[in-house]
Amino acid sequence: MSSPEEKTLILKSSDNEEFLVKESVAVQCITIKNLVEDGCDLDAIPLLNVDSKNLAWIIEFMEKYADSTSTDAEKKDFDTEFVKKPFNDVLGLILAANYLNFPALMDVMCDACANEMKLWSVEQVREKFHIQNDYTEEEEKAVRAENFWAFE
Amino acid sequence: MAMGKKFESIVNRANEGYGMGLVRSTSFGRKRVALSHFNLEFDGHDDCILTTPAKRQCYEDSFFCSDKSILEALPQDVLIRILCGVEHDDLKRLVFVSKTLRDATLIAKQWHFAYSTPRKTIGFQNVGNLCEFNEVEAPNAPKQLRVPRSRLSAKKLADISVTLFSSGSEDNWARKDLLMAMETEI
Repeated sequence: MSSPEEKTLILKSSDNEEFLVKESVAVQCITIKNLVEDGCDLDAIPLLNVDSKNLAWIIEFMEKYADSTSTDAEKKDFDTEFVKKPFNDVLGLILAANYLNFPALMDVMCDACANEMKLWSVEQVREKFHIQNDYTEEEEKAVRAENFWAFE
Repeated sequence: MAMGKKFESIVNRANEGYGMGLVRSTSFGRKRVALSHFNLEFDGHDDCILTTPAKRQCYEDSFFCSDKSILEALPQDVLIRILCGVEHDDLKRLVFVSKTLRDATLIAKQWHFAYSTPRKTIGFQNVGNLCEFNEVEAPNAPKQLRVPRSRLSAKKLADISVTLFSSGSEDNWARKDLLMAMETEI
Protein backbone atom coordinates (compact mmCIF):
# COMPACT_ATOMS: atom_id res chain seq x y z
CA MET A 1 0.00 0.00 0.00
CA SER A 2 1.76 3.16 -1.11
CA SER A 3 1.23 6.36 0.76
CA PRO A 4 0.34 9.49 -1.21
CA GLU A 5 3.64 10.95 -0.01
CA GLU A 6 5.72 8.21 -1.65
CA LYS A 7 8.67 9.66 -3.41
CA THR A 8 9.60 9.10 -7.00
CA LEU A 9 13.22 9.30 -8.04
CA ILE A 10 14.59 10.28 -11.40
CA LEU A 11 17.35 7.95 -12.53
CA LYS A 12 19.42 9.18 -15.43
CA SER A 13 21.39 6.75 -17.58
CA SER A 14 24.82 7.44 -19.04
CA ASP A 15 23.16 8.32 -22.35
CA ASN A 16 20.97 10.89 -20.63
CA GLU A 17 17.70 9.04 -20.63
CA GLU A 18 15.59 9.63 -17.54
CA PHE A 19 13.53 7.00 -15.76
CA LEU A 20 10.97 7.57 -13.02
CA VAL A 21 11.15 4.99 -10.25
CA LYS A 22 9.53 4.84 -6.84
CA GLU A 23 12.03 5.36 -4.07
CA SER A 24 10.98 2.15 -2.28
CA VAL A 25 11.78 0.20 -5.45
CA ALA A 26 15.03 1.98 -6.32
CA VAL A 27 16.63 1.58 -2.92
CA GLN A 28 17.11 -2.13 -3.59
CA CYS A 29 20.26 -0.78 -5.23
CA ILE A 30 22.46 0.10 -2.31
CA THR A 31 24.37 2.71 -4.30
CA ILE A 32 21.10 4.58 -4.90
CA LYS A 33 20.01 4.02 -1.28
CA ASN A 34 23.20 5.67 -0.06
CA LEU A 35 22.72 8.63 -2.36
CA VAL A 36 19.15 9.09 -1.15
CA GLU A 37 20.20 8.87 2.49
CA ASP A 38 22.86 11.48 1.86
CA GLY A 39 20.23 13.75 0.44
CA CYS A 40 21.54 13.72 -3.12
CA ASP A 41 18.24 12.93 -4.80
CA LEU A 42 16.96 16.44 -5.30
CA ASP A 43 17.53 16.34 -9.02
CA ALA A 44 17.98 13.40 -11.32
CA ILE A 45 20.49 10.86 -10.07
CA PRO A 46 23.07 10.33 -12.80
CA LEU A 47 24.23 6.72 -13.18
CA LEU A 48 27.32 7.21 -15.25
CA ASN A 49 28.17 3.56 -15.70
CA VAL A 50 24.72 2.33 -16.70
CA ASP A 51 23.28 2.90 -20.16
CA SER A 52 19.57 3.17 -20.86
CA LYS A 53 19.30 -0.37 -22.22
CA ASN A 54 20.65 -1.88 -18.99
CA LEU A 55 18.84 0.59 -16.77
CA ALA A 56 15.49 -0.28 -18.32
CA TRP A 57 16.09 -3.98 -17.61
CA ILE A 58 17.30 -3.25 -14.11
CA ILE A 59 14.18 -1.22 -13.35
CA GLU A 60 12.02 -4.04 -14.69
CA PHE A 61 13.82 -6.46 -12.36
CA MET A 62 13.62 -4.11 -9.38
CA GLU A 63 9.90 -3.63 -9.81
CA LYS A 64 9.29 -7.35 -9.98
CA TYR A 65 11.28 -7.97 -6.84
CA ALA A 66 9.75 -5.05 -4.95
CA ASP A 67 6.27 -6.30 -5.74
CA SER A 68 5.05 -7.95 -2.54
CA THR A 69 2.24 -9.74 -4.36
CA SER A 70 4.53 -11.85 -6.53
CA THR A 71 5.35 -15.30 -5.13
CA ASP A 72 8.74 -16.99 -5.10
CA ALA A 73 7.64 -19.28 -7.90
CA GLU A 74 6.63 -16.30 -10.02
CA LYS A 75 9.96 -14.64 -9.33
CA LYS A 76 11.78 -17.78 -10.35
CA ASP A 77 9.87 -17.93 -13.63
CA PHE A 78 10.59 -14.28 -14.17
CA ASP A 79 14.30 -14.89 -13.55
CA THR A 80 14.37 -17.76 -16.01
CA GLU A 81 12.94 -15.56 -18.73
CA PHE A 82 14.95 -12.52 -17.69
CA VAL A 83 18.32 -14.22 -18.14
CA LYS A 84 17.54 -15.34 -21.67
CA LYS A 85 19.62 -12.62 -23.21
CA PRO A 86 22.71 -12.55 -25.42
CA PHE A 87 25.79 -13.30 -23.36
CA ASN A 88 27.29 -9.82 -23.70
CA ASP A 89 24.07 -8.36 -22.34
CA VAL A 90 24.28 -10.72 -19.38
CA LEU A 91 27.79 -9.46 -18.66
CA GLY A 92 26.68 -5.85 -19.09
CA LEU A 93 23.95 -6.42 -16.52
CA ILE A 94 26.43 -8.01 -14.11
CA LEU A 95 28.68 -4.97 -14.34
CA ALA A 96 25.73 -2.63 -13.88
CA ALA A 97 24.45 -4.63 -10.89
CA ASN A 98 27.93 -4.49 -9.40
CA TYR A 99 28.12 -0.71 -9.85
CA LEU A 100 24.64 -0.19 -8.43
CA ASN A 101 25.28 -2.77 -5.69
CA PHE A 102 22.06 -4.70 -6.29
CA PRO A 103 22.56 -8.08 -4.62
CA ALA A 104 19.44 -9.85 -5.93
CA LEU A 105 20.20 -9.04 -9.55
CA MET A 106 23.86 -9.85 -9.06
CA ASP A 107 23.01 -13.31 -7.76
CA VAL A 108 20.61 -14.10 -10.58
CA MET A 109 22.91 -12.86 -13.34
CA CYS A 110 26.10 -14.43 -11.97
CA ASP A 111 24.40 -17.78 -11.59
CA ALA A 112 23.09 -17.53 -15.14
CA CYS A 113 26.58 -16.71 -16.39
CA ALA A 114 28.10 -19.60 -14.44
CA ASN A 115 25.49 -21.99 -15.83
CA GLU A 116 26.44 -21.05 -19.36
CA MET A 117 30.15 -21.30 -18.66
CA LYS A 118 29.79 -24.84 -17.31
CA LEU A 119 28.88 -26.13 -20.72
CA TRP A 120 31.81 -24.58 -22.54
CA SER A 121 35.20 -25.96 -23.40
CA VAL A 122 38.35 -23.94 -22.82
CA GLU A 123 38.35 -22.79 -26.43
CA GLN A 124 34.71 -21.73 -26.25
CA VAL A 125 35.36 -19.69 -23.10
CA ARG A 126 38.21 -17.93 -24.90
CA GLU A 127 36.04 -17.29 -27.93
CA LYS A 128 33.03 -15.98 -26.01
CA PHE A 129 35.11 -13.64 -23.91
CA HIS A 130 37.67 -12.82 -26.60
CA ILE A 131 40.51 -13.90 -24.35
CA GLN A 132 43.95 -14.61 -25.69
CA ASN A 133 45.71 -17.61 -24.25
CA ASP A 134 48.60 -15.97 -22.46
CA TYR A 135 50.26 -19.18 -21.32
CA THR A 136 53.43 -20.37 -22.97
CA GLU A 137 53.67 -24.13 -23.52
CA GLU A 138 55.93 -24.55 -20.51
CA GLU A 139 53.66 -22.51 -18.31
CA GLU A 140 50.67 -24.53 -19.41
CA LYS A 141 52.43 -27.79 -18.53
CA ALA A 142 53.42 -26.38 -15.16
CA VAL A 143 49.85 -25.37 -14.41
CA ARG A 144 48.57 -28.82 -15.31
CA ALA A 145 51.13 -30.47 -13.05
CA GLU A 146 50.52 -28.00 -10.22
CA ASN A 147 46.79 -28.46 -10.14
CA PHE A 148 46.71 -32.16 -10.77
CA TRP A 149 46.21 -33.10 -7.10
CA ALA A 150 43.40 -30.65 -6.64
CA PHE A 151 41.33 -31.62 -9.59
CA GLU A 152 41.99 -35.27 -10.26
CA MET B 1 22.85 21.16 -13.39
CA ALA B 2 23.42 21.95 -9.79
CA MET B 3 24.91 19.15 -7.78
CA GLY B 4 25.71 19.08 -4.11
CA LYS B 5 29.38 18.84 -3.29
CA LYS B 6 28.72 15.82 -1.16
CA PHE B 7 27.01 14.06 -4.03
CA GLU B 8 29.90 14.87 -6.27
CA SER B 9 32.38 13.31 -3.89
CA ILE B 10 30.26 10.16 -3.58
CA VAL B 11 29.94 9.86 -7.33
CA ASN B 12 33.65 10.52 -7.68
CA ARG B 13 34.41 7.66 -5.33
CA ALA B 14 31.98 5.40 -7.18
CA ASN B 15 33.29 6.39 -10.57
CA GLU B 16 36.94 6.16 -9.67
CA GLY B 17 36.39 2.55 -8.86
CA TYR B 18 35.15 1.92 -12.35
CA GLY B 19 37.57 3.57 -14.67
CA MET B 20 36.38 7.13 -14.86
CA GLY B 21 39.05 9.64 -14.11
CA LEU B 22 37.76 12.83 -12.61
CA VAL B 23 39.67 15.99 -12.04
CA ARG B 24 38.72 17.85 -8.93
CA SER B 25 39.36 21.51 -8.99
CA THR B 26 39.21 23.24 -5.68
CA SER B 27 40.12 26.60 -7.14
CA PHE B 28 37.22 26.54 -9.56
CA GLY B 29 34.57 25.47 -7.06
CA ARG B 30 32.51 22.59 -8.29
CA LYS B 31 33.69 22.48 -11.82
CA ARG B 32 34.36 18.97 -12.91
CA VAL B 33 36.30 17.79 -15.89
CA ALA B 34 35.84 14.24 -17.03
CA LEU B 35 38.84 12.42 -18.44
CA SER B 36 37.99 9.98 -21.12
CA HIS B 37 39.85 7.90 -23.59
CA PHE B 38 38.91 10.20 -26.41
CA ASN B 39 39.55 13.73 -25.22
CA LEU B 40 41.45 15.32 -22.44
CA GLU B 41 40.47 18.71 -21.13
CA PHE B 42 42.53 20.61 -18.64
CA ASP B 43 41.57 23.81 -17.00
CA GLY B 44 45.18 24.78 -16.58
CA HIS B 45 45.17 24.89 -12.84
CA ASP B 46 47.70 23.49 -10.46
CA ASP B 47 45.77 21.23 -8.18
CA CYS B 48 44.38 18.55 -10.42
CA ILE B 49 44.53 14.90 -9.64
CA LEU B 50 44.80 12.48 -12.50
CA THR B 51 43.40 9.08 -11.78
CA THR B 52 44.02 6.97 -14.83
CA PRO B 53 46.36 4.15 -14.00
CA ALA B 54 46.93 1.69 -16.82
CA LYS B 55 44.61 -0.97 -15.43
CA ARG B 56 41.62 1.36 -15.30
CA GLN B 57 42.42 2.69 -18.73
CA CYS B 58 42.24 -0.83 -20.09
CA TYR B 59 38.84 -1.31 -18.48
CA GLU B 60 37.64 2.01 -19.82
CA ASP B 61 38.73 1.05 -23.31
CA SER B 62 36.79 -2.15 -23.33
CA PHE B 63 33.78 -0.62 -21.72
CA PHE B 64 33.47 2.19 -24.20
CA CYS B 65 34.99 0.71 -27.32
CA SER B 66 33.91 -2.88 -27.80
CA ASP B 67 33.00 -6.13 -26.18
CA LYS B 68 36.53 -7.43 -26.55
CA SER B 69 38.09 -8.98 -23.50
CA ILE B 70 35.10 -7.98 -21.46
CA LEU B 71 35.70 -10.81 -19.07
CA GLU B 72 39.33 -9.79 -18.65
CA ALA B 73 38.11 -6.29 -17.90
CA LEU B 74 35.76 -7.44 -15.18
CA PRO B 75 36.92 -6.54 -11.69
CA GLN B 76 38.38 -9.63 -10.08
CA ASP B 77 35.79 -9.78 -7.32
CA VAL B 78 33.00 -9.91 -9.89
CA LEU B 79 34.86 -12.61 -11.81
CA ILE B 80 35.25 -14.66 -8.64
CA ARG B 81 31.58 -14.21 -7.82
CA ILE B 82 30.67 -15.64 -11.22
CA LEU B 83 33.10 -18.53 -10.86
CA CYS B 84 31.69 -19.43 -7.46
CA GLY B 85 28.56 -20.47 -9.30
CA VAL B 86 30.52 -22.87 -11.48
CA GLU B 87 30.66 -26.47 -10.28
CA HIS B 88 33.95 -27.49 -8.75
CA ASP B 89 34.61 -30.09 -11.39
CA ASP B 90 34.12 -27.56 -14.13
CA LEU B 91 36.50 -25.07 -12.55
CA LYS B 92 39.49 -27.20 -13.48
CA ARG B 93 38.97 -26.49 -17.14
CA LEU B 94 38.85 -22.76 -16.57
CA VAL B 95 42.32 -22.74 -15.03
CA PHE B 96 43.75 -23.28 -18.50
CA VAL B 97 41.97 -20.41 -20.25
CA SER B 98 44.29 -17.63 -19.20
CA LYS B 99 46.36 -16.45 -16.27
CA THR B 100 43.73 -14.00 -15.07
CA LEU B 101 41.12 -16.69 -15.10
CA ARG B 102 43.48 -19.09 -13.37
CA ASP B 103 43.98 -16.70 -10.45
CA ALA B 104 40.27 -16.11 -10.06
CA THR B 105 39.48 -19.82 -10.44
CA LEU B 106 41.93 -20.78 -7.70
CA ILE B 107 40.30 -18.34 -5.30
CA ALA B 108 36.84 -19.62 -6.24
CA LYS B 109 38.09 -23.19 -5.73
CA GLN B 110 39.17 -22.33 -2.16
CA TRP B 111 35.72 -20.96 -1.56
CA HIS B 112 34.25 -24.26 -2.72
CA PHE B 113 36.41 -26.19 -0.28
CA ALA B 114 35.64 -23.81 2.54
CA TYR B 115 31.87 -23.83 2.21
CA SER B 116 30.88 -27.02 0.47
CA THR B 117 32.21 -30.49 -0.10
CA PRO B 118 32.99 -30.83 -3.76
CA ARG B 119 31.29 -33.81 -5.36
CA LYS B 120 33.69 -36.38 -6.67
CA THR B 121 32.64 -38.52 -9.58
CA ILE B 122 32.39 -42.01 -8.13
CA GLY B 123 34.20 -44.72 -10.00
CA PHE B 124 33.70 -48.45 -9.48
CA GLN B 125 37.07 -48.82 -7.77
CA ASN B 126 35.98 -46.57 -4.92
CA VAL B 127 32.78 -48.39 -4.00
CA GLY B 128 34.39 -51.29 -2.20
CA ASN B 129 37.00 -49.22 -0.44
CA LEU B 130 35.28 -46.67 1.68
CA CYS B 131 38.20 -45.68 3.91
CA GLU B 132 40.40 -44.69 1.03
CA PHE B 133 37.50 -43.03 -0.71
CA ASN B 134 37.03 -40.62 2.17
CA GLU B 135 40.69 -39.72 2.20
CA VAL B 136 40.84 -39.04 -1.50
CA GLU B 137 37.66 -36.98 -1.32
CA ALA B 138 39.10 -34.37 0.98
CA PRO B 139 42.80 -34.86 1.65
CA ASN B 140 43.14 -32.08 4.18
CA ALA B 141 39.84 -32.43 5.96
CA PRO B 142 40.10 -33.19 9.69
CA LYS B 143 38.98 -36.69 10.56
CA GLN B 144 35.90 -36.75 12.72
CA LEU B 145 34.58 -39.70 14.67
CA ARG B 146 30.95 -40.44 13.99
CA VAL B 147 30.20 -41.15 17.64
CA PRO B 148 32.14 -39.00 20.07
CA ARG B 149 33.85 -41.03 22.73
CA SER B 150 32.51 -40.27 26.15
CA ARG B 151 35.20 -39.15 28.55
CA LEU B 152 33.41 -40.69 31.48
CA SER B 153 33.41 -44.43 31.93
CA ALA B 154 30.45 -46.13 33.56
CA LYS B 155 32.60 -46.93 36.59
CA LYS B 156 33.48 -43.31 37.11
CA LEU B 157 29.87 -42.32 36.79
CA ALA B 158 28.91 -44.83 39.43
CA ASP B 159 31.48 -43.37 41.79
CA ILE B 160 30.33 -39.85 41.25
CA SER B 161 26.67 -40.67 41.64
CA VAL B 162 27.32 -42.40 44.92
CA THR B 163 29.43 -39.53 46.13
CA LEU B 164 26.85 -37.01 45.14
CA PHE B 165 24.06 -38.74 46.93
CA SER B 166 26.05 -39.27 50.09
CA SER B 167 27.80 -35.94 49.99
CA GLY B 168 24.53 -34.15 49.41
CA SER B 169 23.24 -34.92 52.87
CA GLU B 170 26.73 -34.77 54.38
CA ASP B 171 27.24 -31.38 52.83
CA ASN B 172 24.01 -30.10 54.32
CA TRP B 173 25.05 -31.25 57.75
CA ALA B 174 28.55 -29.89 57.25
CA ARG B 175 27.18 -26.52 56.22
CA LYS B 176 24.84 -26.39 59.16
CA ASP B 177 27.65 -27.15 61.53
CA LEU B 178 29.82 -24.53 59.89
CA LEU B 179 27.11 -21.92 60.21
CA MET B 180 26.57 -22.70 63.85
CA ALA B 181 30.30 -22.56 64.42
CA MET B 182 30.50 -19.21 62.75
CA GLU B 183 27.60 -17.82 64.74
CA THR B 184 29.13 -18.89 68.01
CA GLU B 185 32.41 -17.34 66.99
CA ILE B 186 30.77 -14.03 66.19
